[in-house]
Amino acid sequence: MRLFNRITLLTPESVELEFTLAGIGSRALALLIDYHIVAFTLIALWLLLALIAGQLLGYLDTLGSNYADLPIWLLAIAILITFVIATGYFVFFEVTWQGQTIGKRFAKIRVIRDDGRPVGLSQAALRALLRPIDDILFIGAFLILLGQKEKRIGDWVAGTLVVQEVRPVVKAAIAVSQEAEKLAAELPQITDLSKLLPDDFAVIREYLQRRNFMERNAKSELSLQLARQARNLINLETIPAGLTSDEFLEAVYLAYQQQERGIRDEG
Amino acid sequence: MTANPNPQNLVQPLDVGNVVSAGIQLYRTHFQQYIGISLIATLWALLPFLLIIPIILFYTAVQAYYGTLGLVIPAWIVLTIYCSAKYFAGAGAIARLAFTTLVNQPESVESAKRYADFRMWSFWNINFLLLLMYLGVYFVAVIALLIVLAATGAFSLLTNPDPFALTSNPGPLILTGLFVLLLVLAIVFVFVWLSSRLAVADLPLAVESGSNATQSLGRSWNLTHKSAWRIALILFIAFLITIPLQALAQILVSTFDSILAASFPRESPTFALLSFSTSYILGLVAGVLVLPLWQAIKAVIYSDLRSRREGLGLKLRDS
Repeated sequence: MRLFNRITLLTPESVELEFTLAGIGSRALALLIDYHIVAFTLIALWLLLALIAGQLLGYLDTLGSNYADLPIWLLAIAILITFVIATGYFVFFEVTWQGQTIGKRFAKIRVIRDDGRPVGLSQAALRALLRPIDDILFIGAFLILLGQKEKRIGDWVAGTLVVQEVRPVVKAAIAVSQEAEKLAAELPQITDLSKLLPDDFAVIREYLQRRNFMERNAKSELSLQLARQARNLINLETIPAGLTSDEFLEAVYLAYQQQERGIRDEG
Repeated sequence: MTANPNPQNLVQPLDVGNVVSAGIQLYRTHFQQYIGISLIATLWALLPFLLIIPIILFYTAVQAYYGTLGLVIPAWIVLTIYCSAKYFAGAGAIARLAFTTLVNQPESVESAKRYADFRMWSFWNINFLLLLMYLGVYFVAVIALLIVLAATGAFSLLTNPDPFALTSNPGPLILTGLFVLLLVLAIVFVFVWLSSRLAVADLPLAVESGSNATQSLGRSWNLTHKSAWRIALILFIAFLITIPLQALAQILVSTFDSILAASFPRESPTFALLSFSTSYILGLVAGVLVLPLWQAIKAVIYSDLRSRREGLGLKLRDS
C-alpha cells in the first residue's frame, strides 16, 4: 500500500515530475522547530528591548523632560519588530534556501510552487502572512490532514506545495575487507554477475550500509540468508571457503559495481 | 515472489516525521477496520465502571446486605481484570492489522482478533508489568524528591516561612529551587526515556508467534536500543497532532454546555447530568478515535525498528 501521498506535476516545459508530499508528521516537526526558533529569538529580543527602554527612560528622567508619549511608541516599535521577525523568518529562509526553513531542512521537506518551480518572494510572503489564520483552531492542520494535496490555506492562496526533499542516493563509504577485494577480482571469471539485477544490488548495498546499526544476532542471520540468496542468483556452487557471509556480500557488491562501471565506460 | 517491491521505498528507514505520517495514513485508509475493534475494546474497558452505578444505587436504596460486599468487590475486581485484558487484546489486534499491512501481508479483521484474543492474558501481563515499572520509577522519583527536600532543609523553610530571614539570605532558597528543578527535569528525562524504550512493548506479542509477555517486553527493549530519543520525538510529534482533535472535542463540549445553559439553570441537577454525560461521551469518542492512531503509529515504529535493527524487508529474489 502507499503510505505517502504522491503528486505528479507538469512543469511549464511540459515535463512530468513526481513528488512525494511532505506529510503531516514532517510538517509538524518542521513547525515545532521553527516556532521554537522564532519564540527564542523573540524572547531574546524583548529582553534586549526592555533593557534599552529601561536605560532610555532612566536617562530621560535625569534630563527632566516630558516623555509621557514615549512608552507607547516603544511598544509600537516592539510589536512591529515582533511581526517582522515572526513573518520575516519564514519568508527569508524560504526564499534564500529554496523553500526550506531551518525546521524544514531538519525534517527534509521543501516548499515548491504548484508547477514545481522554487518559491519566490510573493509565494513565501503569502504563506507567512496566512500562517496565523491557519493556526486559528488548527484549520491548517485539519486541511493538511484531510486534503489530498495536503495544502493549508496559505498553500492554496500562494499556489504552493510542500514536498519531501529529493535526496541524492547517499554514497556512504562501505568498508570492504581485503579478502572481499581479492574475491571481487575473481568473481567475474567464475560466475555470471549479469544475473544480478539493479534491485538485487540495491538490497546488498542497503544491507552493507546499514549493517553496523543492526543487532548482532539478527545481522548474522540476515547476512547468511542474503549471502545464500546472492550465491544462488549468480550461480555459484559454494561460497569460497574461509570467507564470512559478510565478506562474500562485500565481494559481490564490489564486483558488480566494477562491472557496471566497466560497461558505462565502454558505452 | 517474482520481483522485488521497489527496495528504495520499502526498506529505507523512515524519518521521524514520516513515521507519524505513515501511521496516520494507515489509520485513514483502514479507518473502518480499526474503529470497529477500538469501539468494542473501549466498551469492554467501560463495562466495570458502568457496573459501579447499579451497585451503588442498589446499596444506597436497600441500605442493607452489606455483608455481600465481601463477594461483590472481589467479583468486580476479577471482572475489571478480565475486561482490561479484552481491551488490551483489542489494541493488540489493531497493532497486528497495521503491521501486517505494512509488510504487505494483510490479514482479515477476524483472524487478527482471534490471534490477539487467544493471547489476551499475555497482553494483560505486559500492561500489568508496564504499570508496575512505571509505578516503581514513580515511587523512586517521589522518594528522591523528598530526600532532596529534607536534605536542603526546604521543609523547615516551607513550614516555617520567615520573610525576614528569606529576604536577608535568599541563597539557600534559590539553591533549593534549582536543585528541585534539576531533579524534576531528571525525573521527566527518565520517564520519557523509559516510555520510549517500552513504546512497542505489545507489538512483538501481537506479531511474532511464540512470544510471551516478558519476551515481548525484552524485544521492545532491544529494538529501541540506540533509538530512544528518536522514538521520544516521534511520540511527541504524534501527540502534537492529536491536539487539534482534543481542541475540537473541547469546543464541542463547551458549545453544548452553553446551549444547555440557555435551556436549564446552571445549578439544576439536569444540567449537571447532561453536561457530565456529554463530556463523558465525547471523552469516550476521543478515546475510541485515538487508540487506533497510537497503535498504528506504534506498528510503524516497530516495523521501522525491525528494518533498522534486523534488516526486515531486506531480501533478494528467490532464484
